[in-house]
Amino acid sequence: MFRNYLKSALRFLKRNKLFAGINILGLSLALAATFIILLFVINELSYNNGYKNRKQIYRVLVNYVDYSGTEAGTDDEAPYALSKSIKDEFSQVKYVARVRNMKGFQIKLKDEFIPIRDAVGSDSQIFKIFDIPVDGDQDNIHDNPNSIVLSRKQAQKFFPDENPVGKEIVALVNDKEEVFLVKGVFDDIRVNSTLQADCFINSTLPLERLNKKFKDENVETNWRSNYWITWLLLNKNADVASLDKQLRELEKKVYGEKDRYDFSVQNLTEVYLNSQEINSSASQGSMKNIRIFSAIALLIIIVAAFNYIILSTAVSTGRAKEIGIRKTNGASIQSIREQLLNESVVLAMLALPIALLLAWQGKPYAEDLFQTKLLIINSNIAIYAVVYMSLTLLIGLASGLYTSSILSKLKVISILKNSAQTGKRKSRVRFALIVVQLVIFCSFISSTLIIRSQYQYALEKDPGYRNKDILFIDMGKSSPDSKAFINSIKSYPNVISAGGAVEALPRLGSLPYNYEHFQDKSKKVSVEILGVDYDFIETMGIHLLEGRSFSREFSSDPEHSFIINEAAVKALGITEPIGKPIDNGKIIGVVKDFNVHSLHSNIPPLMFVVSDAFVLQVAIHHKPGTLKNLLPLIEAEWKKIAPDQPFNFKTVEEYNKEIYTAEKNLSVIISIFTLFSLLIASLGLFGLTLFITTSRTKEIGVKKVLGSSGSTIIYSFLKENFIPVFIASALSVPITWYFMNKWLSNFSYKIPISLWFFAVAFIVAIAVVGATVFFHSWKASRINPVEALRYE
Amino acid sequence: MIYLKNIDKYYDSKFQRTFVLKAVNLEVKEGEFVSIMGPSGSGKSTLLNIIGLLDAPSAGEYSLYEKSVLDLKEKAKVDYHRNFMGFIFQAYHLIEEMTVYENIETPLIYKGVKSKDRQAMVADLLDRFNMVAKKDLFPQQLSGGQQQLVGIARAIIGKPKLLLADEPTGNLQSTQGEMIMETLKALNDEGMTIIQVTHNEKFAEYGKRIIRLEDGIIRGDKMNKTEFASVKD
Ligand SMILES: Nc1ncnc2c1ncn2[C@@H]1O[C@H](COP(=O)(O)OP(=O)(O)OP(=O)(O)O)[C@@H](O)[C@H]1O
Ligand SMILES: [Mg+2]
Repeated sequence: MFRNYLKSALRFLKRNKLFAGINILGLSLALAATFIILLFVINELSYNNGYKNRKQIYRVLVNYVDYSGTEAGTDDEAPYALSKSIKDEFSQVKYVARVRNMKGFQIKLKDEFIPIRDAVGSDSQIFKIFDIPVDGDQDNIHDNPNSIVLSRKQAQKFFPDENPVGKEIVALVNDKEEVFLVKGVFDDIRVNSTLQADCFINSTLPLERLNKKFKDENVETNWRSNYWITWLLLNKNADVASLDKQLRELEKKVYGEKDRYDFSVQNLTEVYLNSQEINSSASQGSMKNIRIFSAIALLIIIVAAFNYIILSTAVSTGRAKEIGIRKTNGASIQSIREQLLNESVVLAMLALPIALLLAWQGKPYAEDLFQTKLLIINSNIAIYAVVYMSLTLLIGLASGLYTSSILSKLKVISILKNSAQTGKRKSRVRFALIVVQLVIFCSFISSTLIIRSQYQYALEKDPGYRNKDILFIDMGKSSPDSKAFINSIKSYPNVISAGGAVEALPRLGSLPYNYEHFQDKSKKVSVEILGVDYDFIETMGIHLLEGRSFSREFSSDPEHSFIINEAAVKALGITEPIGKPIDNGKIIGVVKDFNVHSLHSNIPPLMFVVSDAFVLQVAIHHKPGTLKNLLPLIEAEWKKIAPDQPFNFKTVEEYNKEIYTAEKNLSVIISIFTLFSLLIASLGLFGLTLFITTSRTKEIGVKKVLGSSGSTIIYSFLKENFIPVFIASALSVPITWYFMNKWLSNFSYKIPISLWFFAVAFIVAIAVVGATVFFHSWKASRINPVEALRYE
Repeated sequence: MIYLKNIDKYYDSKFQRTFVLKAVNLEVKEGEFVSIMGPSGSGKSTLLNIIGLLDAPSAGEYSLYEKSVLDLKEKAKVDYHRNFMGFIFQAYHLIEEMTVYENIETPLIYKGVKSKDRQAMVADLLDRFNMVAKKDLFPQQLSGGQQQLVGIARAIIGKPKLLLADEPTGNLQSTQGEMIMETLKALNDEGMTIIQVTHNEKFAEYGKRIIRLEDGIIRGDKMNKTEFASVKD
């Protein structure tokens, strides 16, 4: 029996190549798209899942608490000394390792030094915590400061096809050449892991580097020098609450009662997706993105499934006759249902391999788009297989059930008399399916437009400071030389002014302090501090409302003069701010509010403090259009003060774009999937109209004999197909409104959702539907009635 | 075998009731070959469809082998179609996606006949109708007469007791029509009961009994002349 079904499914396919092709292609495209999204989602969700012990692995977090007792942020870097205390005093902790990436580490191959991206200074226990297999001596691997453990990949690079254990390599570390002894080789760490390492070296090496950087500070014993990611492996039945208690005691011991850091631990399974609030250089995922993409995938699948059902039911009504004959031959409704179901499932299943192929081809592009590697993890293959088999099975079944419920109920006699009324009921369901598809499509279009407009708005809104003709230069390690650098730049005629600050604008971080409210002393107001030099405010064009700006002529300015913004005036409840005492000095000026941060957040109360020593970013205001000439000159100056340091620069526009990368990526991704849904839906519509026009050839022929004009025929087709577009675009308005409002609520400064977003979606939908329908109906309208009626 | 009493078939429209069949009484015995004739629209197909359980009468009694078949469940009807009767249509109604062989085989599959037996049975019939060479062709590749032969083969492969044919020769040239008639006659000689609808007087003569239908009423029901002759002999 099954072979019979399979055969007739394949034959049917052969006779209806075009429809079946369109149908399978549409479904494959959608499956491929969702396959990639699912790959992304599963990759994100299974980040760090490769570690068997993950439930017992924890990372130490440090919560900064300012002197007034409010939390001011959380870091994933802890003091060096912490791990020794934990090792000695915390019985629940089995292993501890502190790690820090070693910047500038290079290994010599032949005569060339090759930079190693993730050279990790660590303790030997890191291998035990993460259960990383190592060839060689695991326990005492970091005995000697000049020992190194290479990843398999690096080992293969530096010692092709030989065992490197016991061999020596030359490396550049802390700007010196040193000889390292290879103690072991570890299995490559997978990409979707927070811990990344190309090699492990002794933790004393980054320590040395830190000590050098902070000159007199001794990082090794300083409990306020937080630079080490500290990993713990707890005992199997460890109690995190009692660990917390122990941490409190430790804090008390090392910091005393006041002005301290709070330690806490975070499980490895939380690290990737649940660390939005934590300042960390480790890569992070976003649950929000996962939700958005899953929703997109779901919508695409709905569009495709409906499409498949619409098209296959339409086409299979052409088989009413065959069904009638089968019935007179003794087929029961049951067996006809079975047949249609089987055929539908077989057809749907054909989409699977095509989808896989498409997904495979599209994967590299998707990786660019999502900016991650999309790994196919072996242990997840079963999930994909099950999900996709059942998904296609479901689509096939739904479409088969629907078709068969229509077809198997038809009266044989009316089928054979060719008067089968497959009409009314079916087309009502079909109509609903088409409307849903179009709703999704229209919502995609208007959402894309809204996201794009918001992105554009973010780039173009006047932030209250100069947002063109500004060049930012990252001082990096050369911060101490900034004063000389700025002075040398100022001499160029094309430079209007130059000034430095801790951060470029809009700033990413924040450094809040609490001040007493001027009227109500019991109330604390959090005010952000921004360190600038004497010229930054002027260079950035920040508007001074009253008082004066910082000036070198006042020697008290660096410690005792402050400039605040309007928001601070308001929040602190100050009247007549100039000259009012604050902190250990007084307010000398008030600036107009400007967007300190990106448009995601409101303008906070802000206080500028001045010093030549704060400068990490230099802002250069240049004459319009002179950047190209100026840049080499500035670079030459840079080479003078920091010959061995990279010259990192950005225009204010570039920097702004960087800030809104997430919005841009989202808009690109949604645009692409809008195109996808467009493609799929119009494929379906194309097939459907083609089918309807061909099956109505006779009707059209008769109409023409009776004197109907071609344009009347086209008009009636267009009218029929525009109705669902009207309904769908109307329905898409509240839906899109709801979700986009939610998305826009992430912004403090946002565009209003205006009607034209929906109008555009409507016009696009009308155009797409019109174009597909017009093509076929035009062809149909030119039918020669004699030809059309010759058959039968 | 077939017993129809006072069969009415009518359609109600907004303002009136149109009778297609009116008080039709008909008895057909096993082994008969009945031809139904009449002008277009007189209700021939309707009558045949009622007999074939494809359509239900509006009023009257209908029994097969003394068992009423008026309120049969869908399942029982399927059973009659599988095991009791076969249909031949004017438009052949072959399944275009299937080869000659597969078209003939279909009813056997629904009957649940084993694959080995099916092969033998289909081969027998192909042989009988001289169609062995055509077994892998699709219907469109055959002439009208050949297609109708396949239609007959498919109708009789399940060895039905009753064969219902609605204008089996309507689309054929006369020589091909005659071939079909000869085939039906031979089947009847082997004992199969046949009821055919035809417009062709000459083909009607192949039947042993001719029924004339006009406006849904039976106006004539008589033994065929040649049949009379053979009875007299
Ligand atoms: N669903 C229906 N509604 C109303 N009238 C119908 C319907 N089906 C058939 N009829 C009418 O029943 C009458 C008999 O139709 P039927 O097909 O039995 O005629 P026929 O004798 O087979 O004619 P022909 O020789 O043309 O095949 C016709 O007048 C037709 O108009
Ligand atoms: Mg008829």
